[in-house]
Amino acid sequence: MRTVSRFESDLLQILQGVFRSTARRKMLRLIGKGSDRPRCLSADAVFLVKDRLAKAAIQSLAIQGGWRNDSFLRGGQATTGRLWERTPLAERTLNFSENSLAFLIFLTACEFSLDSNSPPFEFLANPSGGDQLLVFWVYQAARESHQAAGWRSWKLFRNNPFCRLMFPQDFGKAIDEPCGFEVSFAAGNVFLWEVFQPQLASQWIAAERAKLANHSAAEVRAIGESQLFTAESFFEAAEQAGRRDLVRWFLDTARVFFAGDPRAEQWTQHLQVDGLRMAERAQAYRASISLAQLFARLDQWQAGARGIGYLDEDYRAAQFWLEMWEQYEGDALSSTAKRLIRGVDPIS
Amino acid sequence: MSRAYRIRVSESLHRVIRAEDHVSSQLEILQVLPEDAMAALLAEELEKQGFERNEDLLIRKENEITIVIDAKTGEVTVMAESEESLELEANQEGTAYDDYGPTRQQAEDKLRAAAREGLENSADIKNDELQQQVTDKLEQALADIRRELDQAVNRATASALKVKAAQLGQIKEVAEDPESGNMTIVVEV
Repeated sequence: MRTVSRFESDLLQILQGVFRSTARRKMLRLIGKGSDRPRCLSADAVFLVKDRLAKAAIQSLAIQGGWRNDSFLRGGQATTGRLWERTPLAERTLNFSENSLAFLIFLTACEFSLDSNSPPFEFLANPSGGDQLLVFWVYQAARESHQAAGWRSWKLFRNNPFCRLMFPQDFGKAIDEPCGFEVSFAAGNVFLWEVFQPQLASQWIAAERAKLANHSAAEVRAIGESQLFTAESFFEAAEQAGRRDLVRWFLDTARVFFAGDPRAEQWTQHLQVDGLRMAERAQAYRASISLAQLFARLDQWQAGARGIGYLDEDYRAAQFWLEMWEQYEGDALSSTAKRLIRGVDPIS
Repeated sequence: MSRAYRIRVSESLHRVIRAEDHVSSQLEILQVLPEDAMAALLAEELEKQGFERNEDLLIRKENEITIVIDAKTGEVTVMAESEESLELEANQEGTAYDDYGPTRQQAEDKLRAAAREGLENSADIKNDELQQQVTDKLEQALADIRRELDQAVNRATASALKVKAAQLGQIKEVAEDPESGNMTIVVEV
């Protein structure tokens, strides 16, 4: 039997609420309530945090996408299976450093609101992949709350690669700030991007539907530009890491909206542009079809992959890409994207 | 016995207001010939339409509309701008009493401030109207510009195809249908 203090109990309930929706209301009440921070946590509390975090993280990753029998690239070769079948243990080991515990203590101790001047949390040292993942999970759990609205100005979340790619519409003001994708690819936690493929697709589909229903030209422009910047940054990092297979979520998203014969007007006709200059209207229209704009990079990849010969080093990876492109009918999607771009062009 | 003062103030505002609007696009140029050759053909067609060459750019200014085209990249920018000199005047009247309420000077200052604020508001309204006129003008001009540029690109492409055909062999026949824009070139290889 383990004994914890009131503070430690609150901390553990916050952690529980991150992973269990049934405990979320309690979590949100506890976050920002403010409690006296103890000098240190007890050994029992640290044990329980580690235990709960380890088990919940594994379960969460398995449920979110790890269970899927998928094919991804490994060392330039296609590998199929569930996450734990296709990924060696050393390459799917998550480390949670002192940063994670410090973050949880901060969430429990600090009283913050939108008006408060309490300083935002900053990592004690370079965050590990696990630390960044925990920050993302906390943000995801609290996203609809008023606390999270204030968090969007914090570097902790603006520079978190998972927050940025999963919810680009929340970080429009962070445009041009680094998303941290290169670091996440280099940290040996690339497998997380494999796990998140389904969730990325569903989030981007939901965001695009919301954008289609949004009549504010200024808001649509901010969202579209953030989507464009964030996705292009991710594509760049994926290309550098030799992991073009990790843009599957984008093709899943594009397939939903580019199926059939969509017209550019679907994205633009409801935008309130009265009183705007043509330059501003054009920017809003271009941003509204950000999905279409993103195909320019994929077209380059496709052209490049076609040119890679049997004896070239990247042959298998190129073939993997070509097969994936064909599976998604990439040529048709790309053609639709070009047509949509022409449709919002003010001169053509 | 209190004395009433009738106060009249007059303020004026002289300002030059400017409005600007622009759109950019990319011409779709089929690379039938190398980039430089296509650029030269396009530039030639645009010069026939009144564009003037300025290094790599072709520029035409007409009725406050400026079109700038980079023949190499195909980038097109269409700008509309206008300016207007404003001369506005405003008068304000009020009353002050020597034994009650604000002093004469205070009342006068207040009236001047109100007059200036009114002038600023009027200037802002004029600015918005000018901006709307410039935007409307640009929007109306775009349809014609679109047609002109399409024609220039089509003619440049047709010229490029003839050059390319001549490189392949001997041209036996060229048939062009100006209505449909179709062109048939018969080449003996």
